[in-house]
Parts: sequence; structure tokens; C-alpha cells
Amino acid sequence: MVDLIQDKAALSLRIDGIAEALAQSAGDDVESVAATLSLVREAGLFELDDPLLALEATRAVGRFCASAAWMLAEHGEAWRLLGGFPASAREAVGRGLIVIARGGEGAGLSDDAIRGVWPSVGGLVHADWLLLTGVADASGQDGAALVPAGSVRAAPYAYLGGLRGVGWQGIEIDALSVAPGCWAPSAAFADRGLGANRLIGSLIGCADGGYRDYVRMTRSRITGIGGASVAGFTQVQARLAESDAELGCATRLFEALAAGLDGDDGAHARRDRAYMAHLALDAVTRLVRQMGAMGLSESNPVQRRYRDLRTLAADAAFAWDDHMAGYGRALLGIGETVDVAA
Amino acid sequence: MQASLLKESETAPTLESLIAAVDRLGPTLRARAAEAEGQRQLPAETIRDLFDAGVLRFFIPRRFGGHELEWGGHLALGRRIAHHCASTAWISCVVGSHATYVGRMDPRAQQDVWGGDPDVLVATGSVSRNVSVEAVEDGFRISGRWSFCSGIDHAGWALLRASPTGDQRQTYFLFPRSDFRIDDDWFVSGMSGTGSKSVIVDNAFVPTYRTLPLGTLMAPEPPGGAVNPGYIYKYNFRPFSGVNLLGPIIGGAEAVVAAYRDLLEAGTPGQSKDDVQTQLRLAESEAEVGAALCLMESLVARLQDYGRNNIDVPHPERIGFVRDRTFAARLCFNAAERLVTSLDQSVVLAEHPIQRCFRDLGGMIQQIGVNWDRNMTDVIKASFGRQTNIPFLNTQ
Repeated sequence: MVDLIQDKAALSLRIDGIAEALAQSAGDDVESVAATLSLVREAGLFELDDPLLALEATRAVGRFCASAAWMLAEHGEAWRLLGGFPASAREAVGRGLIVIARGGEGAGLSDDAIRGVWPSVGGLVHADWLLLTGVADASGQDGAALVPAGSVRAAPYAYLGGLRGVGWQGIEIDALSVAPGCWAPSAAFADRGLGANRLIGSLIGCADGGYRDYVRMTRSRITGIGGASVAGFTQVQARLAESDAELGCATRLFEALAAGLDGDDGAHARRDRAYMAHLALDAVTRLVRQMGAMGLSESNPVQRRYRDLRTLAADAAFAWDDHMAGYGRALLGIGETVDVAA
Repeated sequence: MQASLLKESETAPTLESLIAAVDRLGPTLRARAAEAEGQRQLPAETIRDLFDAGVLRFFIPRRFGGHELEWGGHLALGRRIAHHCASTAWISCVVGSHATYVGRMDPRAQQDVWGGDPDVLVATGSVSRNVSVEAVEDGFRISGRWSFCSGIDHAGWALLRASPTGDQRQTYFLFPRSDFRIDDDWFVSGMSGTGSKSVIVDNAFVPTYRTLPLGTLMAPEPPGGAVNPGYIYKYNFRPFSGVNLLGPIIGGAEAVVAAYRDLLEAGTPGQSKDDVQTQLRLAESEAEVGAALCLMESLVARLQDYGRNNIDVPHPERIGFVRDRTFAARLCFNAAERLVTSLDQSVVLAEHPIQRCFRDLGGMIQQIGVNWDRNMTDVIKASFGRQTNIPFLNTQ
């Protein structure tokens, strides 16, 4: 059993201790991600109560493996939500990995048994526990239930375009018993999670990992014809500089969002989150394009980051049209208002 | 303007009291913006107001009656002033910060500049032509022409850079107003109100104590550091130079965004508040300017931390400083350009409310300190460990 991580310095030390192993296990198949998650678990990153530390952890893991960072972010969110359950729920989970099932259809709890269908659940293949949301009790009160991951019937997992190592499955539950203390009304955990901010660390870490891989590869890359150093080309330097600047800016926005976790997720925060993702994706897209045909290769780590980043950025938390149009409307006094002097 | 702008805090001004003074002065500066542009210099009353409000005393050492406030606050002031007039912001934030150069020079030079009335503006010039610098007994004889000397019409002194004959080192020379004349050559499309005209010096004598090699001025423990306690006068100066531009630039971009929003509120052809494209356009520009502000605030916080603790800025972070300020400037211009180019053709009219703001912003981002091609090429060269044109980025 490792000691609980109490501060950022301790977290950095813990991450540094597994960095080499994380680099070696990085990949986007389910097996690689399982190996990475095992390292993360052993380093004590599953039990981070402090939201800032949790975000930093996902950012650090995201530099190596976005799928594992996504899993860690989801687990962390579930872990925080469980804080609103009776203590026995967290005790039952122990050092296990939890994933969250959202978007249940026909989900409900009656006679201490759950029924429902969740069409797309990420990471079940890695999980020990499953937090099912949208489970209303007999009185119609919305809530969530904690069940062992192995107790549900799941379809074979499918891959998305990115974050492939997560594995996505539909699940169906018919009269699964819920242990005492493993169901709680939504009101009990409503303000405990990071909500839409839960993925900002994974996203910025993934982009940073792509950038680092690009720099590492470009330093030693030579042209196929003539053998010239690619790093010496002005246009390569210019593109790298622009991506570097965009990522630097996205990182500052990440830090500002993390510093403002206590505030509400208003139009301003939603704008900055969407813009942060926009900058990060723009930066890595430029780099993968610069690599030409080499950038298309499935095994190219920059290509993997690019796929993962696109998938992460597709989360509703970063939805450009929704958040930007919403912010524009707020600025113009249509709907929600924002403080323009802020 | 009344000297009561700082009434409630005359004895011990703080950044907050200066911000409040600037906010009170803002409408007056806005009303004078067209006049400043037309005259190609700030009105004399504006210079007086900026001293009375404490803005131009920001970096004048306390022992001469100045405020000697912490570096970084001037960027917040410059940003707010630029909401009303970018040229006034430039004089306040960029030219006003030249007092730090003088504050690092020999104490006798400081006495010459501020020993009488300390409300003195110091202009600088780095771009020169036909310069001759001859060493003579106790000083130098200098002739030449220097361009882009912002605020020169109101300057009591000019700090001009050149290399003495036989010495490759760039050196600053400090001239009183009586030793130079102004060549009225500032006819520009943006930032006209800065009055950045050329100066001509004809065989003027400069005593040695009113000179300082650039390298010594920038290095830790310059001569003035012995008498002025603030870190901006004592420690490595290079990290701080170049960042000054961001206050006026970000404020200038915010002025464009605000003007665009006003146009939408008032109704402008082809644009509707209810059009989702308009909403997206405005939001993206706001996000860009917000991101630029985030970068500036982060830069200021980090620089203050290094300054307070007298820590030399690590090389990777130096690269990040140049990168971030350059990218922030680009974000600002992109934000403004997106909005301006979406407007109908009336936007080209000189009296259009967004015109001057946009031209001024275009003028500001031409400054070499935020030049995209130059800086970003050097950022990558530096990150690969190569020599650059920016001494601050070179490890040797």
C-alpha cells in the first residue's frame, strides 16, 4: 500500500518514479492501456481526493497515454461522486477502478434491483466497479448505483477513432441486486464532481505528449532524398513555433480553469475550455500534417496523439459551437449574461 | 486636468488607486483621441494629466518623488488606458517605463534628469542613421539621427543608443532637450498620437556618467541599483523588456471588440445579434483576447516572482516569455481583424468608430518586440540550442 499523495510535489515525485515505465507501456490497444493503468494504480493515483491533484495526474499520464488518462479522469470523477455515498461504498471499491455509465435508457431501481440499458460505456473492460447514473428509485428520485463491473452483461467492446485503448461497450442490466449503501440520490453528490472540467488535464497532457513526440522525432529526422536535417528547415521551425505558442497558451488557460474550479461553470469558463481545446487540437494537427505521409502511419506516436486528441476534444465539454455561440449570446444580452469587464 | 485625480491616496499611491485614477481620466482621454491623432502627438494637457494621475510617475524612483511601484502594474494601467486611446496607452506604458532605464544609470545622471522637477518624460531611440560618436575628455561628442522616438515632443530628455567609434558595444547616451532637435517625420496610418518622430543631434557633448553600455544596463547590479531599492533597477533587466507592449496591445484589441459590440447594439448593416455566425465570431474574438490576457497575467506573475526573489530566469522559460508575448499580440490582432473584416464597407471611413482602434492595433503589432517571424524563428532556434538574434535567448 502506498502513502496517500498530499501535494503537487509528492505527485511529481510519484509520476517521475513511473515515467520510464509509462513511456514503455504507452499505446492505444486495450492491453497497453491495462498495463499503464496498473502502473498508475500502484503509484496511488486512484485515490486522489484533491481536484487539482487529480487534474495534474491526468495531465501527467496524458503525456504518455491519453486512453489511460481518460480512464483516470473518469475514475477520479466517480471517486469524488462516491464521497456523497455512505462510507461503505468507497470501502467496497478500495483500490479498484471505477468507470461511469451515462445515458441510461429505461434505467430504474425497484425492490433493490436495477434494470436498464446503457448503449455506450467506456472502459468497462478495465474496470472493477461501475457507477451507473440516471437510476431513479421507485419514487422517481434520480440517483446513481455502484455495482461490480463483472456483474453486468456487456457487448463485445468496440473502438472509436481515438482513445482506442479505452474500449467501448453497450451494457444491459436486468434485475441486478444493489448492495446496501450503493445507491444514492443525485442530490447527495451533485456538487462533488468536476463535471465538464474533468477531462481538461487529459486533453492538455495528450497534446503536450504529441508535441514532445514530434520534437523528439524531428530532431533526428532526415529527408528521404538528400539526407538533410528536417529540423533545419525554416518552415518546419515556423510551424513548430506556432504550435508551441498555441500549446503554451492552452496550458495557461488550463491553469486558469483549474484555479477557478470553485466557481460555477459559467459562460466564461465554457468559452475558455472550448478555446483551450481548439488551440491544443490546432497545434497537434499542424504537426501531424507537417510530417506528411509519415504522419499518417498508425504506429506514429504523433498520429496516435492526434487521434486521441480529436476524440477527447469531441466531448461535449469542449463543444465549440455550443459554448462559443452561447458565450456570444451572453455577451449580446441574449439569455445568460456575462460580466464583460471580467 | 485637476491634480485631484489621486486625491484620496496622494501620499501612498497603490496600483488600485492608480487604476481608479485612470478610470476617472478615461473619458477625457477618449474625447482627446481624435485630437491626438490629428496633431500626431498627445495634447500637452494629456501629459500633464498622466503625471498628475500618477501614471507617468510609476517608475520614477521614490527618492525623487516618484512612486517606484512594482513592475507589471503599469501593464494593467496601459491596458485600461488603451480602452480609450491606444497612443496615450503607449506613452503611459512603454515610454513611461523608460524611467527604469534612467533609474539604472549613474546616480548623477538620475540627478540631472529628476533633480529639479521630477515630472520628466524620457524618450528613447534605438534606430539610428549617420551616427558618429567620438570619445573626448570626460565624455563623448555625438552627432546623428534617431527614428521612432515616441513621445519626443513632450520629452525633457532623450536616451539614444549608438556604438562609440572603435567600440562595437551598443551604448545609451542621455541628452537634455537642449541638445537635440525634432524632425517632424511621423506620418503614419496607426499610432499617430504617439508622435514617434526622429531626433537629430549635432555635435553634442555627453559626459561619461550620462552613458551606459547596453550590456551593463541590462545586467544585474547596474550603477543605479546602488541607490534605488526596487528590483527593476537592480537585477537582470532583459526578461522585463519587451513585455511592456502587451498592456496597450491587449487593451487596444479589447477596444475593437467593445466597439464591435456597440455597433451590434446600435444596429449595423449585415450583422444581427441573433445571427449565430455573429455570436460565434464575437465569442471567438473574445476568447482570443481573453487568452492573450491570460498569457500576460501569467507572464507578469512569473516575472514578479523572479524579480522579488532575484532569480535568474531559466533558459526554457526565457524562450516561453518571448513566445508568449508574441503569440498574445497575434491573438489580439486576429481577434480584431476577424470582427473588422466582417463589417460592411463603411468601416473604411476615417470617422468610423472602429477605424482608429484597428489602425492603432495594427501599428502596435508592427513593433519588433512582438514581430512574429523574427521572434518565433528565434524561439525555435533557441529551443534547439542555436544562436539567435535575441541576446536574451542565447545561452552564451
